[in-house]
Amino acid sequence: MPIIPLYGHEALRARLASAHARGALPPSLLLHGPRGVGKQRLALWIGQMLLCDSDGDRPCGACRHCRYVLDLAHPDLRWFFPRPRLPNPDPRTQDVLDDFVDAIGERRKSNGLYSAPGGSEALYVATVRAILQLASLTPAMGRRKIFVIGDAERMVSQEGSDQPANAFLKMLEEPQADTQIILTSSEPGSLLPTIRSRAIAVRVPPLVEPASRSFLGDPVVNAALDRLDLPASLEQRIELMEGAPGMLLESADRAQAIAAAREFLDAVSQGRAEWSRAVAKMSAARARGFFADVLDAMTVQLHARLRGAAGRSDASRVTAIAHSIEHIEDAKVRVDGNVNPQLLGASIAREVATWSLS
Amino acid sequence: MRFTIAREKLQEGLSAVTAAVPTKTTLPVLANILLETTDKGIRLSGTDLDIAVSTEVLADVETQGSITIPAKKLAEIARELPSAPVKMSSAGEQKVTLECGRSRFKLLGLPRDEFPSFPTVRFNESWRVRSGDLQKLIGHTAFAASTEESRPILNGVLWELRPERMRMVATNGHRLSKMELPITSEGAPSGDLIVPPKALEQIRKLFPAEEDLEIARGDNHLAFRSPFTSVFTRLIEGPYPNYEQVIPKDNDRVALADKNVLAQSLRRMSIIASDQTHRIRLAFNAGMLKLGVQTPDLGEAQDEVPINYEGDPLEIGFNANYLIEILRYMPTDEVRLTFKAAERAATIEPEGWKDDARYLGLVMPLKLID
Amino acid sequence: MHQIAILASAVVDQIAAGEVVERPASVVKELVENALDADARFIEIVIEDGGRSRIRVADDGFGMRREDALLAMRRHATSKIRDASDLVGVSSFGFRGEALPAIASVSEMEIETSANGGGGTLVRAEGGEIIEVRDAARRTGTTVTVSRLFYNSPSRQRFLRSARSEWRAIADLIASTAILRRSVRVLVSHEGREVMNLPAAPSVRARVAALWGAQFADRLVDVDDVRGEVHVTGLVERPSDVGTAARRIHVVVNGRAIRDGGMVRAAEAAYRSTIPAGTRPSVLLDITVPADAVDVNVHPAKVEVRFRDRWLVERAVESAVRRALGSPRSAASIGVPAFWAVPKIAFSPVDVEVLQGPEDASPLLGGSVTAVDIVMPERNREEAIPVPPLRQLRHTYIMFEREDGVVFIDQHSAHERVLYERFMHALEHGDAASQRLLFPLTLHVGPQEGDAFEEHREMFERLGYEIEGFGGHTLLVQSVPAPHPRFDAERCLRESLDALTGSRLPGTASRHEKLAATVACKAAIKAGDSMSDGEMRSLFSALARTVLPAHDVHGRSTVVHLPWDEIERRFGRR
Repeated sequence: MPIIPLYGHEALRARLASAHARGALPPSLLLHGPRGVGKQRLALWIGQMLLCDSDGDRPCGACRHCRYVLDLAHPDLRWFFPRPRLPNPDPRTQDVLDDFVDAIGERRKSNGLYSAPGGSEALYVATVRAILQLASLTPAMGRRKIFVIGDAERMVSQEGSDQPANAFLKMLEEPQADTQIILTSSEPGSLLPTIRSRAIAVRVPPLVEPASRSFLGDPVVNAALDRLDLPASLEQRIELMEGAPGMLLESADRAQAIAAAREFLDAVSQGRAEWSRAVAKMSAARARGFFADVLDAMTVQLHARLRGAAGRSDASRVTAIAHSIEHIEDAKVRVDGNVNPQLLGASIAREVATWSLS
Repeated sequence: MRFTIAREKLQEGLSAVTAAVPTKTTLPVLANILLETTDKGIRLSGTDLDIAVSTEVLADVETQGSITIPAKKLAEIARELPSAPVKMSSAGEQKVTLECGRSRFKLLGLPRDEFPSFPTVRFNESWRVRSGDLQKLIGHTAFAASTEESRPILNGVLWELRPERMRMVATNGHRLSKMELPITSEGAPSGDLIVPPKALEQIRKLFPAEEDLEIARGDNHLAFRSPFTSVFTRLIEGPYPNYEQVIPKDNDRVALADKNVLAQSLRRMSIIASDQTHRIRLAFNAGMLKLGVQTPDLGEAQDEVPINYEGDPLEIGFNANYLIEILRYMPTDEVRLTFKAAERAATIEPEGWKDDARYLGLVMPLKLID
Repeated sequence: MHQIAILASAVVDQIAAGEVVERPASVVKELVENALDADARFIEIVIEDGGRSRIRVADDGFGMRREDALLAMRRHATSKIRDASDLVGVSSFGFRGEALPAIASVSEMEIETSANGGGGTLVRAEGGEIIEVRDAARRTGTTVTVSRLFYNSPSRQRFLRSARSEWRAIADLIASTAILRRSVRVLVSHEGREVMNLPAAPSVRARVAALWGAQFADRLVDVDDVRGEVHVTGLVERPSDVGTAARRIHVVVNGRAIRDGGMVRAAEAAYRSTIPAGTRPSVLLDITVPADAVDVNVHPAKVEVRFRDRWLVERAVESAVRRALGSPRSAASIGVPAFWAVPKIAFSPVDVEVLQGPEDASPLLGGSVTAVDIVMPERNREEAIPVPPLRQLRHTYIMFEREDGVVFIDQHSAHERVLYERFMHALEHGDAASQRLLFPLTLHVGPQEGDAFEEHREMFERLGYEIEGFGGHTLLVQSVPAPHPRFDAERCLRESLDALTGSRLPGTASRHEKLAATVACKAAIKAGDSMSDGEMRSLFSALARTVLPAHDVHGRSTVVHLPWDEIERRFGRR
């Protein structure tokens, strides 16, 4: 199933198309703008335009190139974005590409709807090296090859070395005539100045309301959003979205964490059997992702309970919750050490249960 | 689509194309091969989008058509089939039936237009090369290409095509090999191509030595064509380093040695050479080459090889593996080694080679720091 | 000087009042210290019922004459301090003239002693009343037996804990004394069983090995550093091992075991960022400060001291520990040569239940796989090392089987160790191989990297980098080291320069170490590289030939051993 179409950004698209038609599209672009407005989707659209067989001012959507792009399968449109560090500390290009086959597969499955990368996801050295490797080959099918690099500010240094950025600079410095690089960033200030200065910056504004409306009217989008914990009415969703479709998805992620936190705390108050079950449901790995969000949500909820208890002048309850919060704060520190969430969850549950019983 | 094909023919076609089928890909249809009927039989095509192979085999075609089928499964089936005619037919775009003797298979395919189109390369300006010559070039040079990912350009083999000659060069920055052959391709343009060794390897295996190949350059691809089979490969872009500049012209110390005696001695020495650097030391004197190796924590060894050497005595260090490897590819029993100084490039060439090809190996020395 | 004298009253007044005898452990402490004061070479300690029913300490020290033995029962007798001026700058054990009488007053005590072999004295007291004095035949030395502690003081008796926890306190005390006075042989039995047999030890490490096992000793890194007037020596746990076994804390100031949270925290501060939050390292520190910089008599139990300038001492501790952890050589110099192929230590597997809290859960969950000390005896370097069949796992580990189990080698760590020793050798003896390049590399580096290069230029050359045309922060590299076929010289040079930025190490030796460690780390084959059989074999033998094969330059294990016992246990075969 293809990814959902690009909505909005009409004026910008017209500008980009006209630049392309005049052969004046800069070979290195930096799309910047608020998080979630659709910069990477727009970058894919630019790639599609560059590859499309038709001569129109926008991609035809029907030719083989367009179909491949919309299936995220075009060999000459390579989309890179932050990924978790691979288990192998120094992966070879093939490992990186295999990882992206999976990652792109997931994005295809979700019709190109995704939320922002997690804290430890980044464009690691090996990814940049893979990009350089791919860039050294002639295009496979099209007239040119396009590299879309999302959240480019996440091109991280490894062990404090600026090696990946240097390697990448080489590519920006000596671009092949058939190569188009499109970086996107919602924090362009965090990009290396050397990279920023080599790419032409294009600002991508939030969607205006008619575009938001048509995005939310897309049945695929609707189906995806209905699975999430979001307000049902279109008006509320438009308000929540603030012109940034991505933020809507992310708010859903947050909602999921909030729900999980509530479920966990409820289970804890229902005794050992219940919380053991809740703990068993947690994953045994990947502490830094969803689990960290759940801990944050727990803290927020416990603070709310604390205020409630304080309002009732229930001193013992206040003490109990305060101690629980302290324990969760402690747990957050451990999460950075990437501990086993199940064990940590069990420990929190035990601690919180003890306090709520006393 | 409906046709009947000899099992052997089917297998022949499959073995040519399955090497190009990728194991992991974002484009599911690439795990399939494309089957198309032609005038004389069927055409099988497979690609990982880096390399594309297409080959035609004889078959009795009843109804025209085309379909894609999972490559791995079809190859496994073909291998296990009895030696009998294979009947294949497709119903609609996705279902293929295969019958052979009493065996009957139904396979699910994918529609034909999901399969990527092959690059278009026009052969009106093409080079003509005998496959055997190409095999010779590839076999003598591709081994020297770099396998490291730090400089993509050195991962490729440089192929210079001129109307009257062609030449391949490969290097990893420490050693280099270069071979040149005369060809006659009148009207063909000159071209410098950097080809991934993976593609060259497939070409070397795919085309029988006696076949004549047509080679042409498209926008982004290099195409090889024999009467029944075509191969397309992407190329590596960028300027290849100026290798001619580093091939020494003024090496004035020349040694003639028996290749096998020298290689055997090098192999003996490399037993004691460091496992990682393979460092050995050569001392050239009139009439005698002394080989020595000294590895801390391991031991030392010496050997002597009679040679024909002119010039001032010379001591020089090398990675023994580079020397052994290049000697392995030398086509003559006697080889000529030339030197300038201990920190300068050494060359190795065949001596007395009755061939119209010219071959040169170059090795940079491994210095010893005192 | 060895005779016991009554302290002048001025001295008595200077001694802070307080409880001397709190629990059996304090009795043991007093008796053992008395024995040490008597120059004992061998002390035998017998404990029954956690010391509640009997404590016996026998030594081969110089013993007492009869009048001394009787005097010892009286309050404020001490053999060491005769004048108040001796109290300033006390550098021997404390003075406990009050100790024996205080103990005697709450127990049944028997002293058997002889100052010259043969003719000796036996004194018996109950509740401090001497009830018997007679001749006794005994070798030179003293045996003090304390029975029925607190029998006449029910309120104190009530405060005694279980025999087990009193015993634990005694064991800790004996351990701490044993570390301090390691030239003394100590034999301890509890409930009739011999529980410690500590021969005189040449080093703290050897004592620690006798006490807690050689495996524990091997997790420790030597500390030895002087800062100002403060000298800090000792052993601290390697960061990678922290949290995987019981924690041991032992702090000595001027020859006296003390309890001092500040020093421990200072040592822990040195671990910052190397260990997970919440885990705490074992620390054994011996701190020497000028005698007038410390006041040791703050509390008569004498486990705490007061420093004239605590901050100064804590900084010295922190920097000494940090240095120990940072130095690759000491981080790796674990254990004395043992065997490549023979594991020394049995280990006890740890079971971790799933619902245990993280405070109990070590990083090595199910942690029964241990690092073994696999170090070689001084074997003939040229002797061929038999290489077992090797197998690469996950392109990361090399596995092989041997008689006592399965061994895993971390290919990166192992290669790093091999290269580190090779580079050190190259830096010191200059025998590196330098591969001349066909196409010179041009590197543009930042000013800091440029400075780092200039700083280390000669050493880079010794490693095999031949670099020309330096100017305007452009490096033209003509030759590069060739440690192995997959070596990426440019990347290694860049990363090493980056790692060396801003480092200003004083001594040549430590600069060598730092550079060798950095380059080894960058140059070693990485996890994820597939290795041919030949490459694995040569790495195996190269590792076996290194001086310290068991750890890489960061102190991580290169080799892990999974014994058959463990495998069989998991399969329920035993």
